[in-house]
Amino acid sequence: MPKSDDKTFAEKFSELEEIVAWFDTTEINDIDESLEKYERGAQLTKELNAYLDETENRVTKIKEKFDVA
Amino acid sequence: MEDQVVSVSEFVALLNQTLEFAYPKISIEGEVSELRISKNQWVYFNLQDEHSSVKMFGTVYQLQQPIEDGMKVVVRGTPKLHNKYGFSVNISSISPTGEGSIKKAFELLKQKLNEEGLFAPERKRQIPAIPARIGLITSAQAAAYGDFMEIINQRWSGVDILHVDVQVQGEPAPKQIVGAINYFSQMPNPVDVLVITRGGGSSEDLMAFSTESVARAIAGSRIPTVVGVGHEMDVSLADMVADVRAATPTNAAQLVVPDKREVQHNLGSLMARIREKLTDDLRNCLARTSAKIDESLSLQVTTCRNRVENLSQKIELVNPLQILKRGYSLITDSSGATVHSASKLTAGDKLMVRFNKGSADVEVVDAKE
Repeated sequence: MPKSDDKTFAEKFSELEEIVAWFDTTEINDIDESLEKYERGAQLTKELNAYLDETENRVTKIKEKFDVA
Repeated sequence: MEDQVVSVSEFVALLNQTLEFAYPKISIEGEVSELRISKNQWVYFNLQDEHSSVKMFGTVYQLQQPIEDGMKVVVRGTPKLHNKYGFSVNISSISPTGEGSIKKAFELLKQKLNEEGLFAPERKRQIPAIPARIGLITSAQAAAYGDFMEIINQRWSGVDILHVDVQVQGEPAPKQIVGAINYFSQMPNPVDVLVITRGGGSSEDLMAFSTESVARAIAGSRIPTVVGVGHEMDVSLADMVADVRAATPTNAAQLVVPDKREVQHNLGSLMARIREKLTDDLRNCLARTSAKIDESLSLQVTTCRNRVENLSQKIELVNPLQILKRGYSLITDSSGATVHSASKLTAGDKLMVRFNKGSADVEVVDAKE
């Protein structure tokens, strides 16, 4: 993942979905909180898009052999 | 040799040495007859063709698939002369051969596993929507590997694939596949999903995926499994016990990772939704605040107006002209100062008397205190 945190793509995606659900269900009173959440959502979207655009799939060959009794 | 006399035990040992030298391992094809399983552990039968019959001996663990009388099989094993029970072939593995026997063995095992509930829908686990790590069990040489990787690379980015290269057909295949499944099950840092796949082939080619050991290993896998064996039409027991059945290796790749174009489109829609909601909420919030300010201002204006009215009433009360209206008069001296006392007046002083209506200039005739 780009950026410093260790979250996987799935974890970041699910955080974004939570933010969307928050916006869907909350009547905004605190503007600062909603702006903060919006900015986090935008940051996550940017990171997720960049990850899909820039990261390669990696294949690791497992050396172990399994036909020995 | 014929002059040399040996004991019976020596003869058995000699013959076994010769057999071991000549046939360390042999594969024999024939039909099963007089099958007997003793104590659920030992397997005995005769392998025969039109002219000959040979005794076979082994354990149930060597049966990859159930067998029964009349079934055509290939037995791999070692010929041996037992010191008490005579000649037999010690079985190392048995595989059904020919369409009819393969189908029969498949049906027998299918029935057995079904009775154990291994195909039950409630056993099926969901695979994660977005895996970070995938275990892949297939042959590196086969087309299936290339097909699978091609689709993964088209659809997704940044996934870690841990590949165990196994034979997907032939005698070593089941043991290697089972070993690989167990390897992934015992990993300290497990993968999110396990893909077991191979491309199309004859029913004998696909047989490893319908063996009991492979089917049980898939059923017992700690990691959710996706199995794609052969073509659309081929159904193996491995497919049936898997958590998710894929029709082909390509389909396995499609099932295991989402399409990044769709995900990126979704990301755009999600952000647009948040933006719209935020803009609406900000607009509503602004409208509410503005209404509050209007209300507060209008209240302040009314209060001010009341206070002004109140004050002007009070001012009106102390207006001297109001007193003159009641018949009093106001007297000022020549400098315009109000005369409050007679003490400072002397005869001849000029004064002005102001009435409610008009005024008069007067002269002091006499002043008294």
